[in-house]
Amino acid sequence: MFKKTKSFLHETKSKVGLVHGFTACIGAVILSYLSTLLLSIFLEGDYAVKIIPSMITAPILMSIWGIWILFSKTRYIALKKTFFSSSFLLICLYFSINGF
Amino acid sequence: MKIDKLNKKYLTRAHTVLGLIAIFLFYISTYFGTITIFKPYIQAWELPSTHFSSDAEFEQIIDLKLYQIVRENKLNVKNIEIELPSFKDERLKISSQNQNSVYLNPYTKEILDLNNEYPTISTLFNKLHTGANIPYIGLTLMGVASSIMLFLMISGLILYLVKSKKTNENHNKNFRFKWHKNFGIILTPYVIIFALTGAFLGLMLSTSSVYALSNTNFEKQSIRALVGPIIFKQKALLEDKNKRVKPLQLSKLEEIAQKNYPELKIRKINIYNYRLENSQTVFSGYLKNNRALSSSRINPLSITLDSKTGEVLEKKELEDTHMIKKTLSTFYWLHFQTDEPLLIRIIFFILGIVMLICLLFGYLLWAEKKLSSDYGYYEILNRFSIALLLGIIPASAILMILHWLIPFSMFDRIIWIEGLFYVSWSFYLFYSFKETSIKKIFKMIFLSSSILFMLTFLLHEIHTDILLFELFSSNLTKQFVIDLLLIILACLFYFLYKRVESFSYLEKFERRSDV
Repeated sequence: MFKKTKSFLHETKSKVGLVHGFTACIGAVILSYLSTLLLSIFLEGDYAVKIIPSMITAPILMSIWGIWILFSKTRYIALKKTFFSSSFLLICLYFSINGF
Repeated sequence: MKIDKLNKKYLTRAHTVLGLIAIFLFYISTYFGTITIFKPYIQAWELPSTHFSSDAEFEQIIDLKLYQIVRENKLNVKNIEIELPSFKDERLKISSQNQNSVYLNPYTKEILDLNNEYPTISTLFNKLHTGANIPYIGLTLMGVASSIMLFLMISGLILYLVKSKKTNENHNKNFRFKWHKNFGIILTPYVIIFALTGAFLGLMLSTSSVYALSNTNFEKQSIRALVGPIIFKQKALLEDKNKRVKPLQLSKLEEIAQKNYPELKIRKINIYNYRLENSQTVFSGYLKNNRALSSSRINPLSITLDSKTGEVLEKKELEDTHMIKKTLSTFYWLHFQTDEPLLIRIIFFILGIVMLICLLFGYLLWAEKKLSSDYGYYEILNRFSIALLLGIIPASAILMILHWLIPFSMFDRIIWIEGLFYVSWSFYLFYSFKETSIKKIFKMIFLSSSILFMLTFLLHEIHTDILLFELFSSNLTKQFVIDLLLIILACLFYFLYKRVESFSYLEKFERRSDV
C-alpha cells in the first residue's frame, strides 16, 4: 500500500490530474492568504494601510502561487511545495503576531 | 519566453478547466455589468418621474422650496442633504437621515409624484451582475469567478508569450483561437480592472475577518470597525442650539463656495442645524481635473461654510485625504465610471462586448475539440450553454416588459418580476433540450428577442404616453436613446433570425443520429 501510494505520488503525468489540480487550487488559496496576512502585519501605518493593500494583492498572488504549484512534475512535488511553504509562512505569521 | 513542455501542457489544461468553471458565472456578470454601464440611462428610461424636459436653464438653488419641504415633511434639521441633479439622476433629491426622500423637478421646482415607482430593471440587472441574486453565497461565488479570471488572464499571457512555432502554425488557421488569443491580450487592462475589483468586493470582503483577527491579536473580527472610522469618517453632528437665525441664501453660499474652491464640481449640499444659530453648509463633490482620485462616492472633497456669515470654516483638499481612500476611489471610478458622461461608458461597453465574444470563443474552442468525444455528455453541455449564454438575451427583454406590464402599486412586485424572469430563462433551457435542431433553437432565440425588444419599446411608449419623435423633440435624450436602441436591437435580432440558415458553422453541433 505504501509502495503504491509512493509510486502514485512520484509518477509524472502529461495531464493535470485531480490530486495535482486540487493541490494547486487549495495551495494557492492558503498560500495567498498566509502571505498577505504576513504582508499586512509587516506594513506600517493605520489599519487601512495595513489591511487594504494586502486584500487587493491576495487575488493576484493566488494566481501566481497556483501557477508555481502547478509547475510541478509530480504530485509529490506539488504537495511538498504547498506543505513546506504554508508551514514556513505559518511559523513566520505566528512569530510576527506573538513575537519571539 | 520559454517554459518546460510539460509545464506548458499543465498550464493549458488548467486554463481550459478553470475557464470552463468560471465562464458561465463570469459571462453572466459581464453581460449584466456591460448593460449596467448605462445605468443612468436605464434609470431615466424606467422611472416615469424622470421624464421631464431638460432644455431650460435651471437654477439649482431652492431656498424657498427647501424651507417649505423641511416643514411639511418634518425633516430632521440636524443634517439635511440635497443631491443636485447630475448625469446619474436628473432629479433634485432632498432627504435627511431615516426619513423618506423628496424628489423635485429641478427646472420647475415641483415635487415629483413617484407613485410607487422603483428602478426594477437596473436594480435586478445589478443584482445579477454582482451575484446578489443568489442568497448567502452569490457575492462570494462571483468573487471566486473573478479570481479565476485573473488566473486565466495571467496563464493566457504566459501561453501567449511562450513561443512555439508548431502550435502557432496549427492554430492560426482557427479563426476563433486566433481571436480568443488576440482579444485576451487586448483585454488585459480591462480584466485587471474588473476582475480585481470583483475579487476584492466579492471574495476578499467576505473573508476579510481573517485580516482583522490577525492584525488585532484575535480581538476584533470586523474589518468595518477597523477601517471604516479611518477612511469613511463622517462629519459629526453639531450641538443643539435653540436660537433660530435666517441663513444666507443657498445661491449666495454656493457662489462663495465656488469662489473659494473653483475646481470643485458640487454634487451634494449638506446643511447641518438648518436655520439654527450654529448652522453650517457643506458643499461636496469631485475635482473637475481629477475625477478618478476624488470620485464623489468614495473620496468626496468638500468646503464647509458658516450658513449665517458665509465664512469658510474648512476646506478639504485632495492632499488631505487618506492614501487608501485615493486608491479605492480610483478603483471605484474605473469600475463604476462614477460621474463620467457617455463617451467613457461607450468605450467600456465596447470592451464588455469584446470580453463576451472572447469568452464565447474560448468555450467554442473547447466544444469543437470535444465533438469527437463522448457525444452525449458534451451535447448536453452545449445545449445548456446555448440556453445560458444566449437565452439570457430574450429573458432580460422579458424582465423589461414585465417592468411596464406589472402595475407599480402591486404587492411584492419585484419578487413577481424576478420570479417570472427566471421562469422565462428556464423556458429557453427547456426548449434547448426539447428541440433537436440547433439552428431551430437559434432561430427561436433570435426571433423571440426581436419581438420582445420591439414590445419593450412599444410598452414604454404606451405607458408613458409619449411617442418616439416626441421624446426627441421634448429633449428627453436618455429615454429617446434607449428606445432607439431597442428598435435597433429588434432589427438586429430579426436580421440574425433570417440569416441563421446560412450559419454552416452550427451544423457540426447538430444532434447526430447515433445519439
